[in-house]
Amino acid sequence: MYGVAPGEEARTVAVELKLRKWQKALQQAALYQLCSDYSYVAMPKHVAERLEPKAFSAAGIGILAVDTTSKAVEVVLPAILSTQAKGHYISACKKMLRR
Amino acid sequence: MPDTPRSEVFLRLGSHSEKQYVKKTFHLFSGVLVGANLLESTPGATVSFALNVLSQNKAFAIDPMTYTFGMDLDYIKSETIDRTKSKRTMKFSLKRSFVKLAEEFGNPVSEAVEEARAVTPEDFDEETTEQFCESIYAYQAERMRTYFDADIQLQEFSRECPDPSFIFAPYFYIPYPHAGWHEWRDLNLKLARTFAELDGEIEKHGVICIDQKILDDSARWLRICGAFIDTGLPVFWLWLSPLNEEKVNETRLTALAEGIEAFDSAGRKVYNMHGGYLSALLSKRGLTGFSRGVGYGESKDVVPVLGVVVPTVNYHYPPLHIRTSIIDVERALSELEIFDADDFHEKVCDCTVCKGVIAGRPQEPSPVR
Repeated sequence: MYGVAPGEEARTVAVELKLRKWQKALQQAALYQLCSDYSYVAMPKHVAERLEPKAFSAAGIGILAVDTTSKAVEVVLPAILSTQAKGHYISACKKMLRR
Repeated sequence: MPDTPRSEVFLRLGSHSEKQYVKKTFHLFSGVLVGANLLESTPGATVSFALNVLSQNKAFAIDPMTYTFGMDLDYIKSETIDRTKSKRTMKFSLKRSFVKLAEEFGNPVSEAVEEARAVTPEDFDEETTEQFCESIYAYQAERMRTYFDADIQLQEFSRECPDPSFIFAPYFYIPYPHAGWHEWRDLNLKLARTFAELDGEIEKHGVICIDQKILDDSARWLRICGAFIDTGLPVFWLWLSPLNEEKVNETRLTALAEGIEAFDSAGRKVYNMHGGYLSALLSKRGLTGFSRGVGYGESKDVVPVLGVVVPTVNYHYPPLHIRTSIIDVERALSELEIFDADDFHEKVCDCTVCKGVIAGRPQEPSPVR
């Protein structure tokens, strides 16, 4: 899932949604750091709350807990502004979303 | 670790556009394999390439690809213009190269193709099995020569047309553990036994083409290996579809190594039909060698990908002997503080190819995002 916030800065956010396999989710979210300002992994609440946040915080990747019943989303760990982001990817993604 | 000979590496030529790479790197390889469909679709180019390979004292062989006729024929069909109609219409029919192969192989393949169906184990009685084996042997031994005979410019050199270095037995995919796998296994064993008994001076190689799930049952896998060893063929090629060396789990890898050791200890040479670096390592467990494409083909599924496929561009990372996607490489570069080509050549790879294609600085993040 990929989105761009309205406003001058127009920050972009990428979210990798997975039910299990957090390592794979982390790897994919790390790739999204090339094309987004913030990158998150979203998992069901009971999974997200048991994740060891060390690997995520070291990579600057945030964790979202999704309550699959109420659909409420909680930020377990906020993402850090990506230092890996490439302008050529971000501008292409923004352009596509604005069309 | 015992001192073992170096792994033999065969290149599989997927298309003639790869020849330039093969020719430049001949010295690194033991030989070249081509699919019979390539020979049929481009006979002139393939035969002249075979001569080139053999003249450099490298091995050359033709994979008869018999397995394709035991699977859904849609896999070997393509959409072409129907020239029998006045109005421009398209038809979905068997590729011409496979039509020619079916004609060359004869029954039961040609009959099944005429009936627009795949062959089944029931199509092979004793007589048909023997005829089919003879036909597959003759095809590989003689097909290149027939192209010489048919070409006015080449006719006078027909006698000089060399034989392939070895000849593959006919083989079909064993769909373990799905219905019918026992019958396909028994057919493959029957074909291997019959093929081993044929007269002919060219070395005969067997192929065991089976779903990789067989490796989950080590005992059964070893029994199958033993049964093939008993066919009398001196050399075997394993195609455990679609085994991926980078992802194979320990159970399967252990069974694979045990199977290889079984062939080795029985005095049979054994190759991996589609392998890479792991296969090179398995030479320490008795694997004689492996084949692969130029930069691809280290894993192959018997079920082909249908439709238009954009090949994934992968980067070979020599220290780990892995192929990784360009996006993964790009993500790693800034993490590794690689900011320009010099950094890259110093920290990652300074081979001739990388020096040739990587220069300057990679595209930087734009200051305003």
